[in-house]
Amino acid sequence: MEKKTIIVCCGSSMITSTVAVAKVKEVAASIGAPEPRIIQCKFAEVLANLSTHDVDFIVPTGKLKVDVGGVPVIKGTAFVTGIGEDKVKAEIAEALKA
Amino acid sequence: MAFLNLPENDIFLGIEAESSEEALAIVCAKLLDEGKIKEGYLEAILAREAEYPTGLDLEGINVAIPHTDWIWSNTTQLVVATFAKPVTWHSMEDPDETVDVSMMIMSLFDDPSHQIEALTKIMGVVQDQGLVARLAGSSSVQEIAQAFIQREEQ
Repeated sequence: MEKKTIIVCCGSSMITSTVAVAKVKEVAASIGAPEPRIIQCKFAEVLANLSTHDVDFIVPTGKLKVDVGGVPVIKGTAFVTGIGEDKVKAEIAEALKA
Repeated sequence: MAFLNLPENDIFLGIEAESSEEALAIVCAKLLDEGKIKEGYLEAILAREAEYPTGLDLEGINVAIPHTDWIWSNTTQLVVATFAKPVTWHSMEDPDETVDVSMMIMSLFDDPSHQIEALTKIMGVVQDQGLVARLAGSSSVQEIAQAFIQREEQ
């Protein structure tokens, strides 16, 4: 599996994205994938990071309102609520293997 | 994990509010009186909620977790409020959607490094629907404070 580059983002205070970063790393370790390169940022910084990095997918903890130009988005709100967390982890595992 | 305080006098039971803005205004007025937040905190948190709301759909009794930048706070602690009747809150997952919220768990921090600690503790509570339902209907500030302490000891 190739090392992936992922944007993990949240509203403004970097709280929920910090939780999501830990979960993404956990998923990568659990499937034996190389630890992904993670760019943690605010929603408002996503477009700038997309223009300067080759990003494989995005994990926002809320709704991203910007056009990310077809980069896959996997919603990470479940990491905060616990509702549907297994499904999101499975989606991230698939994206890491892709 | 260092102790993240939830003082009993900052636990609000059965607030009567018609909106999330009103609920936050009621709570922030007391916190300002206590000197725990700065002038401008309410405006900052309302602006943040308008853009990045914090209502969480827990598929049962729902919770909101409002917070804003550390610069507006004079301390690090949790603040909890339960509502007499559910308050409509915009959803974190999709701000165009709303959820009916029965309890608000607010976090104050005066240092950005405390933020993750606050969220970890809050998550331990919100991910336990049985506990959320019990606390949202509780008439005892001691019971609520105790639940957060026990969560930390696990």
